[in-house]
Amino acid sequence: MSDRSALRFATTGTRLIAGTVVAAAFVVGAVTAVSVPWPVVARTPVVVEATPQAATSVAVCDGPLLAIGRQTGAAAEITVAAPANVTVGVGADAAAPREVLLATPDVTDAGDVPSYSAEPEDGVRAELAAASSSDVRSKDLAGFAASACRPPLLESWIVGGSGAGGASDLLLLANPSDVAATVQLTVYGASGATVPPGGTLIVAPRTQRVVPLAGIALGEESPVVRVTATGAPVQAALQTNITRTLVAGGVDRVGAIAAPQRTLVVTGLVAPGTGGEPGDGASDDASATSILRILSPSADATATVTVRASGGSAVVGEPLTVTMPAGSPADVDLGPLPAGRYTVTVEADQPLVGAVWQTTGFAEGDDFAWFASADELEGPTLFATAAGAPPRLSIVNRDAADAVVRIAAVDGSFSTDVTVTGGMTVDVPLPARGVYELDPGATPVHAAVTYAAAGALAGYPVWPANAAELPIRVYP
Amino acid sequence: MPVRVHALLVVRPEGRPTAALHLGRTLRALALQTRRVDALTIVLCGSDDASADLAAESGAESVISAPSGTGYAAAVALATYRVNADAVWLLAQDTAPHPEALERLTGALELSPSVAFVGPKLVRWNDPTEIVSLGASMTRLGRTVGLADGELDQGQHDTDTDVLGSDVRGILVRGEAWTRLGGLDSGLFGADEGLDLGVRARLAGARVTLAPTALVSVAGDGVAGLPVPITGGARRRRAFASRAAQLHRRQSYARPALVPLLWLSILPLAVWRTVVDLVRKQPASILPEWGAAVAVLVRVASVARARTRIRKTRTAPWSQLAPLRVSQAALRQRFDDDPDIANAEAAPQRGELRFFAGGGAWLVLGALLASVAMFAPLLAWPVLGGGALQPLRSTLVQLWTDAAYGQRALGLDTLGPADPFAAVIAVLGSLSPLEPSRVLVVLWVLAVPLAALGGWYAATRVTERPLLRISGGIVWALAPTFLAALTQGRPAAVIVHLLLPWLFAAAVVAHRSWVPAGAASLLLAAVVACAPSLAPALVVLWIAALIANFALRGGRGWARIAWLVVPAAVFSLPLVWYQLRAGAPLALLADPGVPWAGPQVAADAAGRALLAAGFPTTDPGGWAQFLSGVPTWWVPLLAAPLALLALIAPLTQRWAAGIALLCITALGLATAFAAVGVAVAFSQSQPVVLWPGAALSLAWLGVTGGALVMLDAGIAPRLRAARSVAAVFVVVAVAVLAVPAATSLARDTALLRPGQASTLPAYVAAEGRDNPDVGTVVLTPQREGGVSTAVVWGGSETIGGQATILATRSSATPSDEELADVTASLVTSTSDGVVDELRERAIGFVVLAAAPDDETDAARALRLQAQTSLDQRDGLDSVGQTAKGELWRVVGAGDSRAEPPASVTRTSTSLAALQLGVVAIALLFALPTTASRRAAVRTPRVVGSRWEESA
Repeated sequence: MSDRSALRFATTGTRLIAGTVVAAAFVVGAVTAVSVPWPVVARTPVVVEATPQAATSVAVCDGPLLAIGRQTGAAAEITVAAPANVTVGVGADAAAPREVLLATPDVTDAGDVPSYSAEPEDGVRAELAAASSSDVRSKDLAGFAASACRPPLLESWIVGGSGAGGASDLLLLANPSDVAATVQLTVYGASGATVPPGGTLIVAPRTQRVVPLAGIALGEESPVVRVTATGAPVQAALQTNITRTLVAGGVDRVGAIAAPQRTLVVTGLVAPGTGGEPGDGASDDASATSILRILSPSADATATVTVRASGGSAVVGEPLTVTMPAGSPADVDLGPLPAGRYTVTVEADQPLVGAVWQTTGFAEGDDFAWFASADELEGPTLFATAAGAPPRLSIVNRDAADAVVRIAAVDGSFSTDVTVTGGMTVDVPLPARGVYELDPGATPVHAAVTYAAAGALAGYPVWPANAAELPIRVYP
Repeated sequence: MPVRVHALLVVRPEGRPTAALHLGRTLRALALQTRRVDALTIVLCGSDDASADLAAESGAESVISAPSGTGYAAAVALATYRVNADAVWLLAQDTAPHPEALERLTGALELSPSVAFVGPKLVRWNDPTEIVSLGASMTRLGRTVGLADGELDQGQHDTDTDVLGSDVRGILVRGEAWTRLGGLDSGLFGADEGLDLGVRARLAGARVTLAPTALVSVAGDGVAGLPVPITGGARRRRAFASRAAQLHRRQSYARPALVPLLWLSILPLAVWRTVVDLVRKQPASILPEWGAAVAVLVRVASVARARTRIRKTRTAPWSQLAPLRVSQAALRQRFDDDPDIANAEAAPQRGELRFFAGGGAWLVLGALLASVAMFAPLLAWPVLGGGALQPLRSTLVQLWTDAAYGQRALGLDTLGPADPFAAVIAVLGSLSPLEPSRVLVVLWVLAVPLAALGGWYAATRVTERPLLRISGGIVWALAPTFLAALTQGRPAAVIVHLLLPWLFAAAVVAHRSWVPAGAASLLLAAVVACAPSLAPALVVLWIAALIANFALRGGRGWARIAWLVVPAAVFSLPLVWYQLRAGAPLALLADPGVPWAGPQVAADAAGRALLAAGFPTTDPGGWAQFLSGVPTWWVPLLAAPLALLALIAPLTQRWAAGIALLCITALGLATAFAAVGVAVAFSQSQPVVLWPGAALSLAWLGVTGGALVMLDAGIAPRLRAARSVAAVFVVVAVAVLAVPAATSLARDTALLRPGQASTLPAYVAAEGRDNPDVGTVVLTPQREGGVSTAVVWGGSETIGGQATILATRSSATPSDEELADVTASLVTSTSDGVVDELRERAIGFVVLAAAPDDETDAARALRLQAQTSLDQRDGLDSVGQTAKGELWRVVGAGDSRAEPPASVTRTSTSLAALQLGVVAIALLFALPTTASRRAAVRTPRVVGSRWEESA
């Protein structure tokens, strides 16, 4: 009897001990498994970078400088103020581009708005570059304007101008194609994005429409306009001028920006060095000579703004941190800058569009210009310089490695190799108007053409040659 | 004048050491006969020194050597020329006649001149009281029936002497009849030789009688007659020989006109008898069955010889045999006796299921009411949408085509195996042939009651107590992972949760019988099809079960456990082959169905901690959303009582069940931990991580089972009230946990949405409803830029049409490149020729997917570009804006998709045949029979009860 109870005691004891060990092992194992890292299997989805078949290259110029309401009694009449000098060219040994003059039903005395196109050869896209400039010296409109002729886009962002009372900025919308385009204008102002009355219009085939900015963005001090085309792409640009109590403060043509990006590089700024007192950061400081206008279209964003002088990599002043709500443009005074050339870099956590307004001064005979952000150039790119003030090419290398950039005139009259140290900006004077090829070599760069002379300031970025047909990421 | 008796003794040692022993006893028995044989001829088939020595010393008039493969009939025929006597006594090495045997046999022969041969009473080698054979007959269709086989000898048959035939061993044949009948038929494969000889003797006008007092002990070596079925080999040989002999005799005895028909019927009969063998749970006799069929099929000549022999000697009509045959009624009476019924040990151990009396029915009814309240809006929805839900194909043919190897319903020209999950969907869809998509709505509404039923039934394997079974049902139906799958819309995970308890209930008794083994094998195939990520854990459990079977039961029933994985393996085979060839074995783990990156825990410590608490989502049970702003750290504690009980289970008297269930939990958790870090599939540009919920279902099964074991066995009898309190406490905690999920549809926080009949515009859906060859390119701009492009064949993207081979590709195929080029050209406005490519591919429509509410700038820019480009293109007719996006029709598109190569169709057919065959076999196994039910009640319902395990 006692034997049996001893046996039972032994088996029960064994069972309890073994059970406890198993349960404890399970708990320890689970806790360990929770806390130790487990292998992770992550794959990237199948993606094919598909390059669309080569298309016709198109470049549409902005046309002559216009003036609105010159005749008393016809406040809405738009007339030609000064003709445009156009420089156009194609890559070496290519056929000359075809020129089409667009109709301008909104302008009383029709000026020439040329559109150039070049067909692809052997399935390779033709390179085409053009630029136009105008110089005007009248009482109500004075200054120098230069702009590159751009391909039409489905979506363009215009950063610049003002819709405040008295401003007479004009939005230019050109449709070089054979089908009508329906354009919707979205104005990003102080109260966010709005589609104003009259913000939807039809641009007939081979036609340039002119829309006064005050008509769609009345009262907006610093608007950004998104031009969305359906049916056919359009080329958008803005003519902007300032009149300070009967003194013409300059004129400029603002080119479009293709798409918001997280990093903006605005180069070629020419600071006169005679600016007013140090700015207090307010965007409406009338004495500010350099103002950055940025917009995060779809999300609240925080951006860091850095200014560097050409020829050096040191940061001028303190980097500025700007927070902005989605859909409302912010003007940032970059402060008084010593005379020289500068590059402004904006890095943000959301895609932005932006441009820098720069003036030579506030006296009679001064001029101003909007410098739009320059896209990265990864391959040889054609650009044109227009007649007028001597052009300079500013090249920014944001990479760590040095870039050896080759700049050569298409006609062979000029050629130079420039070494841009990593993180630096280099200015290259160009001999005269002409068409040049920029080959950045292995390191991507940003570049812009600027024109600066007494009472003349203008500039535009160099666009990558394949802007219209970047490979499309397709997830099959 | 006394008759001269010539004994023919055939020895075939076949390398067995017992052969010489048996021969020695036989020879000694011959020497001890009260009436000695007059001559003895030994035929030695094959060489064996010991037997040869014995034969040489036996005093035989001659010893004939023959090859080892010689059958008994042939061996006897070899010795016949030596016979010069009045009677031939047929003996083998293992037939030891009792001393008076020959005397009584000759007596019977002398008594009646019309008798052709006399058969002795064959008894066990070591036990003369058990009859091995005493006379044989056959049914009308020729089936052999032993008249007294296996009975205890109480003299009950000693008066029946007039028989149709008898076992061939030990018969004494009149010499004249032996010569006239031409000896034994060597075409009988060693079975029924005595019966056949009897039939021929009867037809020749003679009689066959028995001498029940002449005893011959037989060992059943298989030299003459059938071997004793003690080994697998002997069983197979026995089955083969008796079936082959039966077929041979049937052709030999039939009317001449019927012989070709009988010959033609051999193979169809083999198929039929295979099915019968499966239903009777005797798969071991299938191989001998086919062997016999083939053997008889090719040996036409031996049938001809047998027929000639009968024709030459026959004098009496066939009808004379009729009274000696066994009638069907007598046969039924013999086989219906349950020999085990009197056996006390085999008395029923299994009580009633008590589904109604034990409250199971009330549980299911309550769950149904709760489910209707939870999913009330669903009752009005024709199709479920949201999450990983899509419509099903609209016709049965398309549903089942999606489940076959060949062209997939997605992709430009995807050729390859279907996911086994497509077969599950096809089975489900077939339940509602007119409106397959509605099946999922019904499934959703019935999911909770079905889970409660499954949980209750699985609990019957753990406990007999009604309260605990009901608790098991509730805990299973309210599992957080199950409710997450229901509210998120994950059909595969829902089906897994519904099937797992049945799989558990069937698999744990698979070793006992073929019925649960067959059912479990099908359930396992379905579970693996729905959640391939569970496969590794289930394979580990299967191997453990095999090892345990060999260790604890000596391998009895190992074939049934081995069978468990066969259907799953056969269904996974094409996919495994495809992915291994593609070098992507991990892609096999991908969740089938619509790839959808839904909300789930991340692969970090916090995520794994939530998984360990049973929650597959970051928001445990939906409480954070339910009580927005209130801390929810206490939510996992609600699952703690269950876990604690399961942890104590190994300490109870049913420690083995507790440990096994804890191991299942550990495997489930480990699988879930691993799954959240594995992303092998993609939805457009989004990686899709494996859903850990299916693995959590497995873990939940282990925890629930462990808790029930603890409550069943771990509480002292005097604390009975504590058991009820603990069970109710656990159930209430789990029920509280389920509140946010149960109310989510009412609060509109579930991801379920009313679905549409098609994911494509109605215009395309109408064209594609009956024509699966309508191709549509769906372009979806991606948030981070780029465009996803998908080719959909038929009227809609469907759950069954999804293919993991497409969703898990790791590199672009040539057709991907082609599709990407077409897409790039479509969304830019310029090039010609791309529409022609669409036409050639028979793609009739282009859809630019509708913009989501929170479209990014990159996506919007691409959408505008694509829209402008598509609008400008010749050859595309704009149909207009639809709810599913903007639609264009390709003018002049081809109307039928490129046919797959003929080899694909052949592969598809053979794979379908193989898979359907395996399913059919499993279904036949799973079909219960009277015998299987009778066997089942002799086993306890609960697995691993106390008495089996306690030390």
